[in-house]
Amino acid sequence: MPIASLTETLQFASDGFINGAFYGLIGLSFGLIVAVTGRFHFAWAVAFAISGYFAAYLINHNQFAILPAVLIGVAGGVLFSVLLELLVYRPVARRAGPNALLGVFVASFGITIAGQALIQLIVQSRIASEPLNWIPIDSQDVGGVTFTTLDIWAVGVFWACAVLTWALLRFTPLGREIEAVRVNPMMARVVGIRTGRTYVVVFVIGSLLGGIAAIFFAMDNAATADMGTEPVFYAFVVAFLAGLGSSPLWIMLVGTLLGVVEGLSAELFSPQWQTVVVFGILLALLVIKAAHAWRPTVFRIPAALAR
Amino acid sequence: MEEFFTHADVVAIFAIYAISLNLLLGVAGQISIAHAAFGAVGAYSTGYLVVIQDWSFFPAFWVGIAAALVVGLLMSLPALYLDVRYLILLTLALSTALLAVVGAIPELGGSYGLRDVPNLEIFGTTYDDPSEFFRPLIVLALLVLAICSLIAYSPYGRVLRAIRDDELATRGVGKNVILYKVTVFGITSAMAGLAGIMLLYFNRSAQPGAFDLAVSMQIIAMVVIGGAGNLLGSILGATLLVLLEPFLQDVVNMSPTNAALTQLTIYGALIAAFLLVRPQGLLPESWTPAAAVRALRRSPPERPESEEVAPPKPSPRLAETAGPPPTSDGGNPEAVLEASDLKKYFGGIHAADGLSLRLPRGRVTGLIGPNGAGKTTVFNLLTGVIPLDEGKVWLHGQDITGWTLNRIANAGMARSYQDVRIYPRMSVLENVMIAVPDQPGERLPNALFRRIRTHEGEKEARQKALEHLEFVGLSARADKLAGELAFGEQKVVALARLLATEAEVLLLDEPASGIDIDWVETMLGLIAELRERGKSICVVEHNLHVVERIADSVYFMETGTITAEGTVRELMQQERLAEVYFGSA
Amino acid sequence: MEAPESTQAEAPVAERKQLLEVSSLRASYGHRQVLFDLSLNVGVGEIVAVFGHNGAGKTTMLNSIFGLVKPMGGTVRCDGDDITGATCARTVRKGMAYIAADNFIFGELSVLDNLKLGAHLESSRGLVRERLQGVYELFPILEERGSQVSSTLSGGQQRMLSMGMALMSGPRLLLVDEPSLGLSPALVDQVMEAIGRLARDESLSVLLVEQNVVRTLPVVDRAYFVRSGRVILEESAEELRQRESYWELF
Repeated sequence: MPIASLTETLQFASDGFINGAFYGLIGLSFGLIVAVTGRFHFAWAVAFAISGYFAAYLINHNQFAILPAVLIGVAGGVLFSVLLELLVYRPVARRAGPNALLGVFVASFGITIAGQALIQLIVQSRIASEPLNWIPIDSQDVGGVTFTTLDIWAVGVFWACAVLTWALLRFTPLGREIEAVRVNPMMARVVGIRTGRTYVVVFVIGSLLGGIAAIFFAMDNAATADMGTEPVFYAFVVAFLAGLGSSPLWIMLVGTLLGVVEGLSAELFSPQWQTVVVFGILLALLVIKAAHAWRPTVFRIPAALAR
Repeated sequence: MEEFFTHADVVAIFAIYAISLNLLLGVAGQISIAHAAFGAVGAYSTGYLVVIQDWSFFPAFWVGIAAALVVGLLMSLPALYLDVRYLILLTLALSTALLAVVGAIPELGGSYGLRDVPNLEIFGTTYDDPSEFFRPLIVLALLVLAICSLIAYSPYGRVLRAIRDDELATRGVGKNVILYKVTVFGITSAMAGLAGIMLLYFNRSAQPGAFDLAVSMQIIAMVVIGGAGNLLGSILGATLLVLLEPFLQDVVNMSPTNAALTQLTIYGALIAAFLLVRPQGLLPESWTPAAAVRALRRSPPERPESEEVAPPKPSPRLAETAGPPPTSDGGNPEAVLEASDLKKYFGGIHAADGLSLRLPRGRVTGLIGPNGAGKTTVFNLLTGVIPLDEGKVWLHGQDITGWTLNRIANAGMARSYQDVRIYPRMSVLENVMIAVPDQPGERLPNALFRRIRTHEGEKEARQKALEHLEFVGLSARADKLAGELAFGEQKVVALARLLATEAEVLLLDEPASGIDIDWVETMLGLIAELRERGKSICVVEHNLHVVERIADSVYFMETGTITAEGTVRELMQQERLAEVYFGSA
Repeated sequence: MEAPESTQAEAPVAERKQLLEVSSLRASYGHRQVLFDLSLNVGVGEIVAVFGHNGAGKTTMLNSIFGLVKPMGGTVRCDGDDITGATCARTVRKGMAYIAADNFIFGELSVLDNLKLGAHLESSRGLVRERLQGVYELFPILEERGSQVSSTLSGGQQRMLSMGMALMSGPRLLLVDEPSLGLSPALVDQVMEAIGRLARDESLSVLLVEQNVVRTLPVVDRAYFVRSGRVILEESAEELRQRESYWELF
């Protein structure tokens, strides 16, 4: 294997950093929902697709102006997620009792499959891929490392979203309410918080973040009905790696790290093996986690992983 | 005709998947979201050997099965120690990583997969079209059904259901839960591998896409829709889902693309719909064709249970299954259980701080103390639910320190729980039968191959369980679902289950709580009778009146140690205890 | 906090308006029924204790009154209004506050955030600030440790925080579950004294569940004894103090 030059390495790292910002935001989007509501919201993939795909579709086929289409797309994803919580997750969790988590996950997966197929059925298009052309993708060059204007905007917007979310959670009454429900649901009820309403708010915030990520993803890769399938995996890898309930800024960091590791591994491995690397890491971490649960004194792990 | 067999082949393959997943998920309650991935292990192992290495079917087949078995066993180990969220992640990661590996290895053909798989040829006979392929396939499918049925509907299967419904209670009646879990994981993974191999030969190729998460989800849908816990239901589920797409194409005349998409939409929505509206699936667990026929003939259902259920009249004299005859009174009866200097720290909290006690034969010893003194922790430490930091425990003179919960239960010490922990989906009789020790049918080789021995063992276990139920006075309720009983009755069933373990040392955690006065009388009567039979009983109770009536002597516990011993009356005289229990000026 | 109105303090006990009336309450803890027929009442400005052994149903009683658990039967009235089975949001608005026996703070959050959450339903920022001042006067340590993560406080300090949180909603009735749990005798006295002071100064009514009879009696007006889900005795504090021993009540 030829050792890549410094420029090539920097390029991989830069690509990884840019991807990592995306991974961080989607990890935050998914992780917030799971941490506060406990729902293993696999159908996040469908909300992601609704936001990206319908925005693109409206622009390309219905002559919508870009901004309204984007807003409608994102709103669609948010609405979908909220309806899912109210009409599916909540009743399933109640019925399933102790098996609530598994039941919600299986239902969510079912909705994902149905949702992705339904989108395609509705649109009835042989060519299922819709480009979203808004922010230009012309290349910029800094010292031999290239990236696009879109990339700059993406990284900026993603980190801004994370900072805003962090500020919301830290400084506002709503953020306090969300944290309260996450940290101690019983006490949250004791102080008069209506936790059901909080769940809905969290779904709104989470899917808003996911929708923004979807728009940028569509601009970069074109939108398809199943565009959410791969991102959702990265979303929960990042969410669980960072630890549920972690600060949004930490989640962004973990996502970025994952992106950079994945990017650098592209130097050594082909794309197929990259996936193996990412999921291999996840598998290894889970095995370590299990080993720690088995013999806590023998296998030590950092606190965030133990949650 | 060929078309019929083409469909029949696919149905049979997926029936194998669904039946085996149902055994793992529906009966044993173990989570696996990646069942098709084990199919990939089988298919690719066999495919590689046949296509690249030119092996013949028979040896390649067994290697494929073995590979799936091994991967299944390996996966089951971390699964033992992860909670639900991470289990889902584990199986998801396994599926994705496995398929990514397979797609990345050039020898395995990448995303195009292995091709040019020859026709299935077993010992000279070639099966080259779907109708011929069906013959060996249906044999294998029926074999899988037979094995899974034998497992599910045997005493072994009863233990699996018990693990599903309450793992802690099942360990507490002496079952080695880890062994059961790992075994079931291995067997069902091997069966999934079998399905994968059959798919390999049916398609005459193998691609990662044939074994991905979407396929695993289809299999879960078959189990959920068909009925979790009902193996026939899985066949029904497989048939419905596999035939849905051809139905949409041929009967409803949809284009192939639309049919495929509609099929996905329907079955994805069905999963959610069933979980919302009918979680037990089309065929509930207890449904069998025989039961359905019986239900048609049965008289109208009995009137619903009234709120007030009278406590049973126990008939202690009928049961013979007690311990040694009552000891003569006086003197110091031998200590059956001894604990010395137990210590357990949770961070800064000393749950046990140098605690020692002994439980003599044929005596009821009370354990009382203020809230937060650590009484239930003592039971957990004695039975091995949580490990000791320091100290030793002897049972019948044998050092049992560090033993696991099920080993201690088998050695003769068992406990009841504050929240009862009976199995609500099993009958009262089965709840007690599960605890009967040494049942041949609970060992897999017997359940599968020694049917007569299993049958005899079942009869014996049923007999013993009925005797225990007669002792506590609930034999009339033997066939009722335990979940439908009133709380007081459930407590009595739990006591019968405890007796069925034939443990000498019984630790009863708040036997009189949560029930009204009449039921308390019944429980006290039963406990007294057990004392007569020579059991060593320890009772944790907060109601001092109850303790006074039943306990021969009492330990007073505060902040992790025993600070006083004697009769309740004696303890009441001591001012110190009054101060600790309810403060004093 | 609001200036106390003690006009009702002089009225004889029997004529005092009932702030809380519980009749024939039946409730379960999970599958177990622990309350079979429980009735009691708390008057305005009264401190009433409920004693009994563990498992007698005391915590379930508080949970059913406050709305953490739905009772199976019976009625709960506050100020004459039927609030049986109402949610916590409603009972807090009616003027109740709950101090749990354990797990009673938001451990990961700061002391100040905990206190602010106590006033979650209060929309007037001025009132919130006032109440915060009042809590700081009562428990100065909470002001000192405002930005500290509350799980790092000592056990006694956490108790004080939980009491401060309850006060932040400006309640008329405090439901307190085993305040002495896990505390040293000196701290128990401190906590009881604080409760007594609150009741006097803010004419707060208190329904207090405890196992420690002797340390609680000094601040209490009346007490009930509960055993196996029913009330077996109701006496004034005076009468209780004259008893020789409490063993037969447990």
